[in-house]
Amino acid sequence: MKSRLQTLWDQVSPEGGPCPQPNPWGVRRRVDAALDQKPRAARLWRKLKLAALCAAALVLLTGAAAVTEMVLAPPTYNVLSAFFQGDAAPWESLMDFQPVSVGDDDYTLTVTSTVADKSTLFYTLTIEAHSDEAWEELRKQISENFYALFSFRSHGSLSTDGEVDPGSRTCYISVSTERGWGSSAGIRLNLMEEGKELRFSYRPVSDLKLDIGAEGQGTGGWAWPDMAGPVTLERLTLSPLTLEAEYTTGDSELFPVLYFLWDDGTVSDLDSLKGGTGHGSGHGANGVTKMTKSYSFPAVQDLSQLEAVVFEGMAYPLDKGEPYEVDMEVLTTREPAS
Amino acid sequence: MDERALVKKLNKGSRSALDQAIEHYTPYVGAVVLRALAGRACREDVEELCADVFVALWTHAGELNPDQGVRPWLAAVARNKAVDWLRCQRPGVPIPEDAPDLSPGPEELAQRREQSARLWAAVDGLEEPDRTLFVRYYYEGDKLKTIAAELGLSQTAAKQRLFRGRKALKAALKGLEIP
Repeated sequence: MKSRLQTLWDQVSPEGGPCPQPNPWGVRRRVDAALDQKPRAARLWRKLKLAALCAAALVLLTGAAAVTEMVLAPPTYNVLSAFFQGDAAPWESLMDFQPVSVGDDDYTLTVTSTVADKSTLFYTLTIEAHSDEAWEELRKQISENFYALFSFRSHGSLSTDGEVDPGSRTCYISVSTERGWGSSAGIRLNLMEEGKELRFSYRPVSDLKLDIGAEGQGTGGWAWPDMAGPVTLERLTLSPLTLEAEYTTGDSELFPVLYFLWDDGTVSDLDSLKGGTGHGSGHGANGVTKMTKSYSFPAVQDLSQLEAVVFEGMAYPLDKGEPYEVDMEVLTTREPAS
Repeated sequence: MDERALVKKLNKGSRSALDQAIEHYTPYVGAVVLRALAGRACREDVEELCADVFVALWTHAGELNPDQGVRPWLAAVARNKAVDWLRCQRPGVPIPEDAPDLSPGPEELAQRREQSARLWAAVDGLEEPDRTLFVRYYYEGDKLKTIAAELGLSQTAAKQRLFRGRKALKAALKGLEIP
């Protein structure tokens, strides 16, 4: 991190190299690891089994068929593996595995894992059908009208993905959605009886805000490669999951041209850091739009290794130290995570 | 940051309050650790010790007194953890030959610790108020305006002292030897 101490270190220490200043992100990761030591996968599996038993008990009490053969999600299926590439194990402390279920005679809907930050909520669901008839109805809806399957108590854009396991009559679905205020969300499976809605809470991970306040170039990215124009970047919010930019522009398709400068001296461009989901909103007048747009990363990012975000040739250190000029020509491009 | 409000949240077991404390007080706790270790630590050492301090903060969150704030508590625990760490330092365990080489090697870590100790010794060798100015500005991350006011300096004078101090440190580090 280009902290004040690193700046001093660079200026006065003949040997250079990394200074001993601790990085809050690094400390946070160690604290999370110490406080959440139990193996997450094992906990998920155990809790899911418990949820299955509870669901079975509920069904028995209501007089419907028992669901003793229910097989739930494999322990490795979680929200990080659903949305992010690479090994999710080092980041499991970011996730929450408190399964919450709602059920009726035909289905049980369970939120199995969540992870969120300031801008985005990601979560995984299972839908278990309790009969062959219910399973056939669910499969029909998935193939013919997937997006009518759910009602969401959230706003903004939404993306979902899923797979089915006929053997266990279970459907696994992953959802990402723009976060609103608060730290709870709701979802309803429209095949269930009226009034059955699943409400659940989540714990957003910490983020880091960088006030930029600079003018520079924007681009349309891969979607509009020929588009370019000026933007004024006001603020960036970074978490291990997403990057959010607040900026003004004459064209809402533009996004600031950003680079990530890592502490090993390599640099990544924004396109290599954009993942599968993104959302944004804007409002404005007189041809100027104030935008807030965010993109998820393709893999969870270790921000303790990120020194600065570069915009228009200036590096803005994550420790909020003084911005400094960088020569992009001499920096090596970091290989994208595979 | 309102320390009293933060401690009250910690008293109630708020994990987000712990996150806030980590973000806000890591530079301060790191500075206390470095001071207790006479600077002889690399970033990995300091982060590990800081994490121990914040885990302890979480463990004892219910016992904190909102009227006393959290800084004195953090400083006391950080000093103790650093002293314990010094006592427990043992030669490193041999690394298996087939282990992936992901972290700095023992030689590099030793070199970083020595560099850190040199800089700390040089800063510690500055005269007051420059020593306090450097520790608080560069190590603890306090605002220059606040430090200058508490030291009875104008901001311009504080900046001049930082400029002159950096030149003095640079010169000192060229010839300084650690005993």
